Amino acid sequence: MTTLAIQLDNVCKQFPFFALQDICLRLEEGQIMGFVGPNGAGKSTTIRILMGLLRQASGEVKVLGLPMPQQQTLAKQQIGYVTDDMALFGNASLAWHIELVRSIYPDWDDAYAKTLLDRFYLNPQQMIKGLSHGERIKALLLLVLARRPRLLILDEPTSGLDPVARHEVLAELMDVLRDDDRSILFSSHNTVDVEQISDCITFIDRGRIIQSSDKESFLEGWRRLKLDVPDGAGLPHFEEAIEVSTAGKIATVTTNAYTPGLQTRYAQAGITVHEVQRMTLEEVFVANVMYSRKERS
Amino acid sequence: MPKSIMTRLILKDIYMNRMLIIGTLLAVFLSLFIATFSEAWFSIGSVLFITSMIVMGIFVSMYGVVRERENKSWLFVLSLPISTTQYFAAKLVAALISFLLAWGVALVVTVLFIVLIDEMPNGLLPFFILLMLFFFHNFAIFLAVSLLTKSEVWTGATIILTNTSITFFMIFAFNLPVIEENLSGPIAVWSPEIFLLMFYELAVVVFVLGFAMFKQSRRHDFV
Repeated sequence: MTTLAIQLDNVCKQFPFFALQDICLRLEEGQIMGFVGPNGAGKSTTIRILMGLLRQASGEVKVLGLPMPQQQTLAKQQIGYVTDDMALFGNASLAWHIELVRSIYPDWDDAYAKTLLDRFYLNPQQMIKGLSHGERIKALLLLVLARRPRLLILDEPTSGLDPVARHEVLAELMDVLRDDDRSILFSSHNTVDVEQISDCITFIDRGRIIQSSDKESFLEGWRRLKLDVPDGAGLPHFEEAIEVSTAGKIATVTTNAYTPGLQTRYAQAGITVHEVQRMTLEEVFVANVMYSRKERS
Repeated sequence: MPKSIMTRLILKDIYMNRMLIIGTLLAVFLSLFIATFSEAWFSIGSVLFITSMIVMGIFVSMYGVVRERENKSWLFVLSLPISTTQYFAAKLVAALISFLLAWGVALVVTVLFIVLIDEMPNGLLPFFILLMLFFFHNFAIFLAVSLLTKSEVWTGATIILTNTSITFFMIFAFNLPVIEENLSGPIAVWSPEIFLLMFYELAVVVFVLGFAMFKQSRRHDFV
């Protein structure tokens, strides 16, 4: 039986101007999930519920098999949580923070912490207030990675990082993934980062999960077809075609359930399929969000 | 395990407050030292003493609770294996210890100063103890407000109100007949009204801090 690192069932949470509605999410142990959504979609709220910082109004939340927020103390022993707006203590050094965290976590890996200090080019004696944003994020990652958590929850960790720092952070995360038992929930609105490291992806928009699947299914299922529609021939409506735009005789069809059979059906209707384009994750994300909003309205 | 983490978090806060504690004690020692020079210097020393107690009370809460929340370093602490209730309990205990360390030393040293220095009338002791307990009372109110609210308006208003209240309290205490008649006398005179006032001050401390912890333990959302 597969063990779940994260399990949310029908989770709801209301705020005056925003609501999380019926969030269902499952992350198997050893998987990396990209949690993607526009700003204000509910990513951080969902993550804060996972961390026990917010309590769901209804629904069930389990992290590493432990109900949240009731068992948050136990669960947090095995969770490494980093968010881009999390701060360390400005008037203390990184070495002081390392000592604090090391004294709390028995599994703290000194050798790995030293490796990360070198890789991230961090000086442990430096005061936190003297670190740049990128260095601060790397320091936070060091503090969670060296405690060898079973689950990493990263809320927009690469937000605001320069390309080099982003590469370093992502490379380290990829490295962490060599351990098959470790799971990562990686929230971002940067689809390039998510595409690089995730093996499954969940899209969230306006407080609802709009699609959740493995990365390959997303990239295989979503395609854009360029069609030539002859005069007098109407463009048939197929269920898989979720968005159609036309400019003269040229039509562009976006589908979220592509199979070669779709091309055949267009051909049978007298329509020439010029090109079948793969979509980037960013294009899939935007199309998915727009489709979901249209469906809801 | 959570118990030891709480202890570590309390020690962490006390470590963060170390310069504030040392600075307050230096100011207290300086104020007592200059108070012996002359009557005018006694007044200056008293102002310095009162100011250092007020600043200590405000800064312990501002740096330990309000600032940690505003700059989001509390998210880092809350990511550690500790419940939100334990976090607030650690905050409260650490703030209390930090304040009481400086306050307690200031109290003992000043009492010894009054008792041992001939020029200092022992009749000052009841007023001094009442005033020190009032600093503790104000500190507890500000700490409770800092723990309970994120509102800058509330924290700002509490600072103004508690600071203003010191002047009114001093006038009130000075005008108590038992204080007024014995302030410059050689013997400390304790009366039921003084004990009643002390009881009120300590009761407020217990009530506001207990209320703050009770409210926090019932809260479900922390960010």
